[in-house]
Amino acid sequence: MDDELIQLKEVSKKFGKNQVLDAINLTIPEKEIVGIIGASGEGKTTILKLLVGFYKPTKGEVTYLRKNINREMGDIEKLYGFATEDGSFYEKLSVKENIFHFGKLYGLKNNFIKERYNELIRLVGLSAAANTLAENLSIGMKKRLDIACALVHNPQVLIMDEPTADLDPLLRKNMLNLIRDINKKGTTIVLTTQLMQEVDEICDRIAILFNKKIIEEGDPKKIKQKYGKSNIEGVFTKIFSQKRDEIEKENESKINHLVKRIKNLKKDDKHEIIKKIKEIKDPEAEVPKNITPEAIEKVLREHADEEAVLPDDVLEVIEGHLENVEEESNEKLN
Amino acid sequence: MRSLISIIGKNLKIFGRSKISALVILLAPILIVFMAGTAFNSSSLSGINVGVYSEEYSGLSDEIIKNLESEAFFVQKLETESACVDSVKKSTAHICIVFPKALSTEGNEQPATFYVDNSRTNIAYILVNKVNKNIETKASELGVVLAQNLIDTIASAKEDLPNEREGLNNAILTARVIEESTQEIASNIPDVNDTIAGLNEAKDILHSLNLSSSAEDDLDEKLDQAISDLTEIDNSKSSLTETAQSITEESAKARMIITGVATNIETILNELNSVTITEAEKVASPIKTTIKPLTAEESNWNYIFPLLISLVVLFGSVILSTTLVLNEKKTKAFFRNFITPTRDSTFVFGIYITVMLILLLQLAVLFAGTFWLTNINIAPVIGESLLIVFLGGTVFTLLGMFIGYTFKSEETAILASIIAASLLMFLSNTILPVESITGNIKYIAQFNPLVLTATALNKVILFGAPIMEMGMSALYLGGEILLMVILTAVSMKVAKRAA
Repeated sequence: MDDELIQLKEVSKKFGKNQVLDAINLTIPEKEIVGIIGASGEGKTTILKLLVGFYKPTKGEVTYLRKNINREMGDIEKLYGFATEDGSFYEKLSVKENIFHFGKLYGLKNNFIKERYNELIRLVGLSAAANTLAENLSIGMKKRLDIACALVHNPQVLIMDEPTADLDPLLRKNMLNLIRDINKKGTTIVLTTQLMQEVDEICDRIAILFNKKIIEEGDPKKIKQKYGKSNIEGVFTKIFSQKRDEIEKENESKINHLVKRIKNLKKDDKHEIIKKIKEIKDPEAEVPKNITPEAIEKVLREHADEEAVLPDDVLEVIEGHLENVEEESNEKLN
Repeated sequence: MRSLISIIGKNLKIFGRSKISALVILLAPILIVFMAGTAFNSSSLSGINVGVYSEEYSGLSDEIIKNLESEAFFVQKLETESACVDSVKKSTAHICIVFPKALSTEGNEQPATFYVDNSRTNIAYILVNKVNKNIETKASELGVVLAQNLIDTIASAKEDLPNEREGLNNAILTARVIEESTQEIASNIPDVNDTIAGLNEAKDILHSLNLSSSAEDDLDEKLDQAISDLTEIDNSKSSLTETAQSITEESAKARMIITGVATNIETILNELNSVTITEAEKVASPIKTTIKPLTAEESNWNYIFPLLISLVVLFGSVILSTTLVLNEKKTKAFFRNFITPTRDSTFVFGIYITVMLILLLQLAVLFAGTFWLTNINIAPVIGESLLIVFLGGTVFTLLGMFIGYTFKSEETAILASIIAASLLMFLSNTILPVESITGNIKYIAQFNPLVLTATALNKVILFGAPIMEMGMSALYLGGEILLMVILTAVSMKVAKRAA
């Protein structure tokens, strides 16, 4: 894509053992509004923080105009503005003081900040509250102050994390208008949201995040067509439903496979493995000597969750026991 | 530079707008000065309760008790020794004194015993010294009286002995005269043997003359009588000579004895004359001691003032810097700060400068308050004092920042900063002298920045020592600053990575 500004290539991110993103690819074209949607806790904010270099990818790379932002770019901070979900400013400073302070942190000269301040205060509609302490602003005003702080250095890209969260419908509409206005001035915008309607309203491009991966990316109209839905919410619901079915099937097949393996074990081994599984929930559980395949399946399903996922402790018991039995039989064969 | 000034300005604005914390930070030194200045603006102890017990009080023990009472000690006589000891245990008395039974100047078998609560280390020794001094003063007074009696007796002997010596000399002379006279008497008695022989010859001649028998008999009789008398005289002479010899010998013996006594008296007199001390005080306490303070001031406030400054700097810097770092870490703006091109070191330096400015304000309040309350003027040594405070304050501030970056929770970090500051305080001269610490800890305590700062301030403020004398302290503090800069930088990087 020729107009690509930022690209995430096979980016994975782990926090300790917790895998948050798994080999995602995302393209952000210049001067467009790109929405990243997904359920809560899917890793949307992590993607935004990877874009600005706050996090480094565990695998893969993030590029800005095809340059790796972590290795090849020294001052990417000036390219980005970041409006966080909760706001990132000083509560004990006034609107004006916050904007001036962050302007100075970007190394801007006083005259430039003054011009920018006058422009921004009108853009975000906070002229009347210029000297009000941030802590005394309403939620909507705080969101707008945060955007003003993010734009003080006139960045090429504005990253917005849940810009409409906690806003009432009227304020949400105002916020969307503000985002459009900012975009009209040539600023590329990347935003995250859980509200699909917003994406439909303002995004030129969307990325749907599900189960650590981006499962759809592109023009929202085309995506809607592909899934035969009139809005993104419908698309998301359909994708979510399909994916959940797929996962459930996958998990079902895992359970069936385990049932088969246990079924083929000797009588004593079967008894022991089922007893151990049952003891996880009930240490005094009694297990009959003769165990049918139905009984095995019943025990495993009792321990699985709604999506037919067996917890780690049960899997450890089964896998551990099966490995021991297989090792023993291999030794006998040898 | 623009960003640094903006960070400092922002920090000060936020500090000023948190009215209660700002008020606490600024009023704390005034409060400390007011409380400590009022409390320690004297050099004496007051309100000390003394428990006393004696199986039998004497005039002397009562007099000592009166002396204690006259020095504003509250003395309470207790019924038993254990009640006296318990009064200290229960803190109703600061010290218990057990006097020996019927304390007298004639010598006592038992000593006067002090019971004191040693756990109150800061006052125990002062109390013992104070009370002991009081008793020693009384003992010294008694010693003076006894010594005066002794001196008077010696003076009297010195006066009388020369007369006695004169009498003895006369006696020696008299004895000598007696000896000579006796010998003269003995030698002056004439020898009658020749006369007796002559009379015997005369008698022979008489017999040869053939005189009438009556005449011859008469003459013979008379001659016999004369010979007999002379023989008797001769016998008496021998006896007299022996007696005279004996008198002479005894007199010589007596003279020798008298001469010996006279010589002894002479020696005693010489020895007495060699005793030049004529004042009883000199005998009672021949070595006089006096403690001269190196400074003209006498109030305790003067002595604790340098330490007080150090403590204000310690607690002010450590807690304030920890709080500022935590505020910065916990602020919503942390993320935005992170994504600006401003370097991390600028934020760290911004916090450091902010703390130092607030510290300067605190010290200005402290100095002004001290001048107003106690008339101590620090102006002549302000440059030196501020330099030391700057070095010490930098170590403490960096320590507080290190703690702030190291701990995630606000409560833990504040607790850690208080513990760190308290640890520095305990390992200093604040409660007990560093010299009383044992082992390697003592060695470490010497490099305690609080000790270095307080000692240097002591020298400058109390003795007006030139700044060049602070060379080693400044060097150690400089080393500690370097170490803390490294630790702070590392902890900041780790905290940022963990954010």
